[in-house]
Amino acid sequence: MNVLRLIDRVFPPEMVFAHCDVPCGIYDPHLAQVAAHTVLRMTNMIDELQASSPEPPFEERKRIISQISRLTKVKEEHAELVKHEIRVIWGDYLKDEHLKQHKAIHQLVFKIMKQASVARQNVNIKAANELLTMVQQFAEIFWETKGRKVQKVKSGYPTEGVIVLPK
Amino acid sequence: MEPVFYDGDHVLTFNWIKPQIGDVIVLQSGKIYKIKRVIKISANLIFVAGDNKKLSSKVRPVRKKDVIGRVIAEY
Repeated sequence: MNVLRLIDRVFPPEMVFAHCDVPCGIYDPHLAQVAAHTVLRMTNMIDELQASSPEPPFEERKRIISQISRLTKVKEEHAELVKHEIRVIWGDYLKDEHLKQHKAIHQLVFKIMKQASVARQNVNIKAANELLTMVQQFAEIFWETKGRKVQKVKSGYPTEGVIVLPK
Repeated sequence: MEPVFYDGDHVLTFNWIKPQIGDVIVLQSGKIYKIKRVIKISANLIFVAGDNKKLSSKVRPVRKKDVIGRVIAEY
């Protein structure tokens, strides 16, 4: 076979890949949960903003507008991050065998996509909480597909609530 | 494609024979070439998957015209 290697030196062969993308095999719904907590936190912070009077001074208006802009930007970004992270796990990690075990997963992912948009488009604490709950359900299913039991630990975030982690 | 093929292996392909289920083939995918094992064959498509299930467990359809050849030797 060394003859073939010698021929390869004269006529270098084409490179062939075994995988379509970086085959890291590392998937984790943790970032989606953190992003969902962030959406909730930003929603809470926008909701808590108060002016000193119905007609506040111009400087105060500027400050409030600036603050709302910043909070909204982060809320938008993290709602999209939730969708991205869930889509990647759904599209790249989940396989037929997982779907047989968890028949509701497609519907749950669909609901997360819709709910993330609702939470993004509105200042709605209930919607943000529902998004977080759905993402946690997804996290529980994800770890079940890996044969891992889950535990809900206190997040320690200002949003309180929990993070779903494998035991 | 571990444990059959590893990074740095060279393979020789042959395209005069039709691939069969279980064969390893090289196929064109966009601008790159991939090496996969044939899982199923239908009228116009060949379904392929990687051997290393930890990293490559998806079954993908490939058009027959995109098959470069069957791997007949590793050297």
